[in-house]
Amino acid sequence: MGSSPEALVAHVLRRCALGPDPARVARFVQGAKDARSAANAAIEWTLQTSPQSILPAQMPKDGWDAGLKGWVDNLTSPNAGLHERMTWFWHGHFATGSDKVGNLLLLHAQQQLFRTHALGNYATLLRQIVTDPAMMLYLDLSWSTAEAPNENFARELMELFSIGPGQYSEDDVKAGALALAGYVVDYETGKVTKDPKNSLGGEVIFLGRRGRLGVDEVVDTVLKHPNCAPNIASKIYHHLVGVAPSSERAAKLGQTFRSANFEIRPVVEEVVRGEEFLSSRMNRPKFPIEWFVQALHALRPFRTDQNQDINPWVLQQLNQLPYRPPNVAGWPISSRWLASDQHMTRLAYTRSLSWKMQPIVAAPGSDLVSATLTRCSLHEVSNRTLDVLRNAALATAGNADELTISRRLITAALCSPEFALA
Amino acid sequence: MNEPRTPEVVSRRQFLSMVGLTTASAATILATAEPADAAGKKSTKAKKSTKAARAATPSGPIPLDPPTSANTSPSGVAGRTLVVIELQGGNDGFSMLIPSGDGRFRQLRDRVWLDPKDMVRLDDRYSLAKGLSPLLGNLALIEGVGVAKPELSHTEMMTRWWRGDPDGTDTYRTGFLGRCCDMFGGTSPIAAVSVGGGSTPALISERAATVSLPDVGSLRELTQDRDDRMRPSLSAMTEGGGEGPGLETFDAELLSLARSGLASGMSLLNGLGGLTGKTTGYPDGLGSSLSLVRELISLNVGIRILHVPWGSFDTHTGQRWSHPDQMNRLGAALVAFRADLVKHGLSDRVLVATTSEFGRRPQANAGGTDHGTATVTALMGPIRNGRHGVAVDFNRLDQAGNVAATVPMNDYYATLSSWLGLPISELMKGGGSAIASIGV
Repeated sequence: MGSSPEALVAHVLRRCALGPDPARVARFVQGAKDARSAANAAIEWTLQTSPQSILPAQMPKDGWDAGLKGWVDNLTSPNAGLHERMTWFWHGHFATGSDKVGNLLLLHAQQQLFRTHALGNYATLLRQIVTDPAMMLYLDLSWSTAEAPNENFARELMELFSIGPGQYSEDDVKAGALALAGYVVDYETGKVTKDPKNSLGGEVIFLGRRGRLGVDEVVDTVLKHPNCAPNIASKIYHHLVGVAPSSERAAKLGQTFRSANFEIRPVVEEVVRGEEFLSSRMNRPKFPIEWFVQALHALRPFRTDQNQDINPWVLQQLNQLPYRPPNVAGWPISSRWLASDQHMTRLAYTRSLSWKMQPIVAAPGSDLVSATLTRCSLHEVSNRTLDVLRNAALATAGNADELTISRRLITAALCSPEFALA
Repeated sequence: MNEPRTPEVVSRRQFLSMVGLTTASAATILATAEPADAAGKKSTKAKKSTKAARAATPSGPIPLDPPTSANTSPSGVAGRTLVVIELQGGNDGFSMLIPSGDGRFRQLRDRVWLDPKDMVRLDDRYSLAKGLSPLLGNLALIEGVGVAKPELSHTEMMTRWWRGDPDGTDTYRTGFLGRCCDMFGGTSPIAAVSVGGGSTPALISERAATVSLPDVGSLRELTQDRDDRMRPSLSAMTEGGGEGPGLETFDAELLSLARSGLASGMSLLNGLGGLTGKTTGYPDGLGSSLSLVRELISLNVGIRILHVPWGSFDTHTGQRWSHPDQMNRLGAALVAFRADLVKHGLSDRVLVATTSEFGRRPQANAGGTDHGTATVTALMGPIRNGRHGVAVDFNRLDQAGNVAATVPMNDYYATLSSWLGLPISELMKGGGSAIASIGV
């Protein structure tokens, strides 16, 4: 493969966590026999990571800030691995918006659900998400009645959550909506109750299955659909490898998923241990949340109090604030994350946050440019970008102080075209 | 009418000299497989269309009848701007222009019937959403806008509207508005800007420069950063070729997109230093986006299309309060925008048009409405105001319980392209006819 151990390990941690902590990269590189074995060790480590700390059940008064910072802390923890990555993945897959749900505690409980099942069982997760209070409120299952059923949930359950577009008819949407009707969510407590008066008494035909169907039967039917396993496995592959799988690969991953009774871990293992994973580098745009997490890893430790003024609300300007998906489909893997507005906002944020950074220090035998790139875990760059960094380090050395030079270097690296890819 | 530009705004020449945006590089900013991922059907590395870039760029604007309003901009059609507000989530047109005199409709909507205080009666047949009533006399509403063979998926229908692909059968690589930009000819440093929601597939173009701006908060912070040394440095990084340690591992097309995006971002920062980011007189949210839109138009640098996504119109529940609430916000933002346009002598040059992926179902569910088909769209500008299009028939619903569209997407888009002086036959397969009564 010819790549440096640093580059390969950074790739693994970029994809299998949300950002490489440079110290973590160094640890896997040290003493490794070669690049491949360092990368393999990193993969196995990310697979072994356990759930990060969870937030308290009671939110303080400034709930939104605390909730957001809590999640950001989890994402940026040096110990975050595939478990946090998959927790985030499921949030995008089962996107839920705070604008509609409003009650942070319910969203917080949903986040715990994703964390619990991140690498667990998809069938269990799907079953639980159908009666998750936040999701029921977001997709309007609460107060849907058999007399006037609300189609939102039944449609997205099939289109987004399981079998994919083009696999169901409008009659299936109507039948699903009837079968799922009758629930009410208590907005304050999140308690879910079923009112028989508003539930369907009779039979429906849903995806070819006829009967008196309820939540369990609907979920069962969806899981048995031939496109469910390959569709979800493909989505996991796409997220981790950066491109959609070939149809053969999708079918094979689907088989793995089915024969493991929808256990998520075997699919994820097959993907990250597979041949394509290590060679599929820098082949998708970085999501804004990934840019944010990696920028924090590069800028830390701060000279001042660690968490003061990190301002995760910049994620709103970057259009990827947790709990604020652009629509029910979550955040797409898309070139929109490479557009001008992203670069402008990233520059503004880097400029303001870099005031707090410790000046960059070159290790003996190294230079400021290498030290900068190491902090950013960016080990592959164009000669042009290297030139810009060298100029930033040299041209101003006479009359700029250490911090000014460091800020320029880190800004150039974090806003470089190379850093915009994952 | 035309006031001189406000002094803080940069001149066109100054802007051009700083921009350094080559059309070719800018054109690639958005031109990847976005519609494919939006449709969720193809890989992100969908192959570039083999079709050559559209060759039929007209040599000049198409002559048009003058707008009905007395005063035309000195620069004529070429000086016209289109502001598209995308009402996200599927806007219930029936709660915008309410067929309140239609007994069948009344019956279907009984469960979610609007509070009388949220409607203004127009005549025996129609009422208007109260929030839009301050715009009466300055607003055109078109009934029945939709497609012949609708689907009810957000993703599918958003993609069709973005692409200008009514049946979901065409394979345009560009967005409808992006194609409009390609047809303006290559003289403008920036043909279109999206504001308030990041980059949009609607503006994907082959050649023209279409860019996205962050919100006013970020812009203000950026234009105040005094260490402007960073901008030339970052711009310099975008000139890189293919060489460098390990660079062969990168996806070359994406790296080039990242470079274009960064280059445009830095050029915009240099060129837009004159933007004040002041939102005085505007309400928050959509209002602040429109205040930026007005400033961008005043730059006079050839921006012809501005795209603003807004709202959360997927009113499956809570429709009785959430729709009127959004109409109030929409109305207030448009009132402020219109006043600002008039103040700056721009009101004859700017047409505002709404889009939405679909309307809502006539038959309500317990507290809202499910996905529908045809909707009502709104236009504000130097046009004939009032009601246009053809009323839908609530007695002839399809199997899903939805109305048939009476004004095809093609005709609505033809109206918008006609405003811009572009022939719809070059923009959409099957062409279309501008809605004559509107008098664009």
